Amino acid sequence: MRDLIRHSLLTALAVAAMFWLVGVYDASLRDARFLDGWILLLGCGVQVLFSLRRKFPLLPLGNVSSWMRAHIYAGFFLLAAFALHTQYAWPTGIFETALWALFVILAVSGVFGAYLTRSVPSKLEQNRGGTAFDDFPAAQTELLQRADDLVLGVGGVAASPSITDFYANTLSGFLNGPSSTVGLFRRSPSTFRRLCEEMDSLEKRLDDGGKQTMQAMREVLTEKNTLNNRYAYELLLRLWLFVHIPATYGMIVLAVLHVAVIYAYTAGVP
Amino acid sequence: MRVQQTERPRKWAIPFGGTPVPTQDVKAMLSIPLFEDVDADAFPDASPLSEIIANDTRVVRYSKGDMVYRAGEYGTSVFVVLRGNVKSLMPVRSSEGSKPAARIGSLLRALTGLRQTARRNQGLDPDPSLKPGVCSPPVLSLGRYDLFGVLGAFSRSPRTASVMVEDDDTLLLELRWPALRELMRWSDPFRERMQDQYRQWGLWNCLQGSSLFANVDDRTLLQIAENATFERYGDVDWTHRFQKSASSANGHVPAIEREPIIAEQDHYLDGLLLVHSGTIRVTERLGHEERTTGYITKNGIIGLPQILGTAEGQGELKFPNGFRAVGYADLVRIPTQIVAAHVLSDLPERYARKARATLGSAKPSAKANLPRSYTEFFVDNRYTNGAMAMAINTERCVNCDDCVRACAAAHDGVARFARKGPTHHNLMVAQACMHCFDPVCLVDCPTGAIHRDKVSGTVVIDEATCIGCAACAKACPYDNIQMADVRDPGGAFLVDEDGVQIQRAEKCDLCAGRKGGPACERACPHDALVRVDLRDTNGLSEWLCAISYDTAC
Repeated sequence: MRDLIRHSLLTALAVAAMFWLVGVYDASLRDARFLDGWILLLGCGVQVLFSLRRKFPLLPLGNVSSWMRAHIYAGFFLLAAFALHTQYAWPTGIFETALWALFVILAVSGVFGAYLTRSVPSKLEQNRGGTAFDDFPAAQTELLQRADDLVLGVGGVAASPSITDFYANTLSGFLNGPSSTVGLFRRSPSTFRRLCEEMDSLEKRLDDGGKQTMQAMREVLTEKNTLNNRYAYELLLRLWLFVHIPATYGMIVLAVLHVAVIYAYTAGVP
Repeated sequence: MRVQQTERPRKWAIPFGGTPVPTQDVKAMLSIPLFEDVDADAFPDASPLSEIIANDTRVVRYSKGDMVYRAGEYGTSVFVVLRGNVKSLMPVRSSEGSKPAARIGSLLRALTGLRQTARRNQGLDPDPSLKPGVCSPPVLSLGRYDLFGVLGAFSRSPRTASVMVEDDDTLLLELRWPALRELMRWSDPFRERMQDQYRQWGLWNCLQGSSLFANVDDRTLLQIAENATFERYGDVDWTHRFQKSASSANGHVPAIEREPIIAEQDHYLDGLLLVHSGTIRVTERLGHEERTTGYITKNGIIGLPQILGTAEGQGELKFPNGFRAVGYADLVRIPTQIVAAHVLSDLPERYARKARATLGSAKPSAKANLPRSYTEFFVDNRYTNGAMAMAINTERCVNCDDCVRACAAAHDGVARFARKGPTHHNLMVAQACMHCFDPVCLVDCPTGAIHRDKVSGTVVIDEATCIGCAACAKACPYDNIQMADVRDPGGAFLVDEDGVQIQRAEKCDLCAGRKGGPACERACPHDALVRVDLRDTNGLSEWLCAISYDTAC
């Protein structure tokens, strides 16, 4: 908590210093948009260095976690620089709108990503399991195989028709899918709860053998639910980067073009 | 799959001294007192005594002023003086004020006494130059056929004294660990001699190194030493027992009840216990159950508050908890009456304060800064041995695998750990070499390829001498050493004459030689991974708290 306060204060101080500097620049009757524009562009350039740092972990340039912290707080600083540069106004024109939109996407995805990286691990912790992300399909197939074996009675007695019917019409859909994060969030945990309730209801009418099969089936179902949740959360942790990183490079390209255009029309005079 | 045939690495392919000791020199060495009762016929054909001496020992020539080793360095060799003299320089004991002159003045006498005991056991005459009553710095001279380095070699812990050469052209016989192990395995007299040396030096080192006796003069310390006993509980070969128990219990940890009892709760406290090495589980009886409340490791003390309390008229002379050896524990036991007579009056203030505070509280708790369940987790899984364990906070880890990639980047594309392992609440102890306080993986290595770095103590494997026998991988209780297929620089798999793949042991080396420390730790963007001493529960607790979003922290 102390670190959080210290870093926030430092960021606020940097923002205040920037505002003061831009104010002084403005007071000297020069166009302050050049100054805050360059601060913004250079800041974005520095932010890109973070991904390069991650790609070269062996470089003796400090811990990546320190870079990550700097990346986050610099992001907030750049939000202020962006507000200053755009003068809190909506963009005009297609090019400006595109640049503005990319920055906003970048900022929103960044904040969302920071939130996810802090909130999702505890959710993963609640759905603890040893399956690596790339092994999820194999783990799902294995669970499905276990369920099939229970119903077909591999190594024992085949399940009763009521269980077979329940499995084919109700459980197999859950065990086979879903394949998308959106689907997972839509279906769990209410789907899982509903299936458990239906299993409870069916179990009351079964003999001892059937009850045993249902118990084993419930274990498979619970594992599948945990697997679904883990998959969904891990996918989320990856998906936001698919927005954040392309938006970064897109914005850098447009920003460079923006600078070129500005200098072309002002002949480089601030 | 491309393969390349090559000769399988074998034991003694690279002798300790670079070349084997010549046969006539081996004969000469076998005639020194250290080997006089070693029966060569007792050794198996695969490991004959002459070959052990030729390949696992070396004779090193030193000049006056050379250091053989320094206190604090790591090393598993034992040395014998063949010619010349060396002196062992013990670190001067810290004092809390009084009697410095007496302390230095009588240290030599204390050492002399021990030396004479050691010599008696070796059947050697005491050195006439070392006479009681001589005021001298804490120096012990060692002459022809004297043995040193036993404590560091056997406990796999840092050297407790520095050894400097006194004469030019001094010759030392250095026996590396594989030689010692084989000699002890096949020669009972040799083993007994070594164990005796270990016990004697262990006892003295424990007393001399403990700041509990900082105010005690050396004459008294010697008196304490004479009455103290060095005791071992459990078995140094605990790793195989632990692995067996773990596998037979289907992954469950062995029960407390199987661990050797050092003292039972509420039993008469007959002495002060100082922990020399190993780990002790502190337990509390609840009905018929025994539950873990903490653990005590090297330099820990048991029974001081009770002895002090009894002397001051409060409390009883009873063990406040149960104590069990986790694997093994070496202890020094000082009888209660000796402590009362010689230690309490000169007890350093901080010990007295702490002991009184412990007596005042309901129960002493060895490590109360982490929740009890963590303590149990560490002790049950033997993680108290971990000096640089990889701890991952699962509430911070996003499974990005940056740590694994960084490790792979530092080790030719192959990561040396697995980001998985036993987890307790939010703490995962990943499958990475913990660079144990007592690295049992070193014990069975036939070539000494796996060893501790002399300075840092990091457990590393020498690729040139590893023969891929997997002894270390089998001995590691935590399954943190893997056998990897060896390839040539072109990527072809190396096979022997019979077409069998050649393997080599691989494990985390803490990115030895790289600036900035372990790459895994530096690469984690979320501060979720740390290399940590699992005995430092304060540090661990602080780390878990510092990176926790839990406001209660």
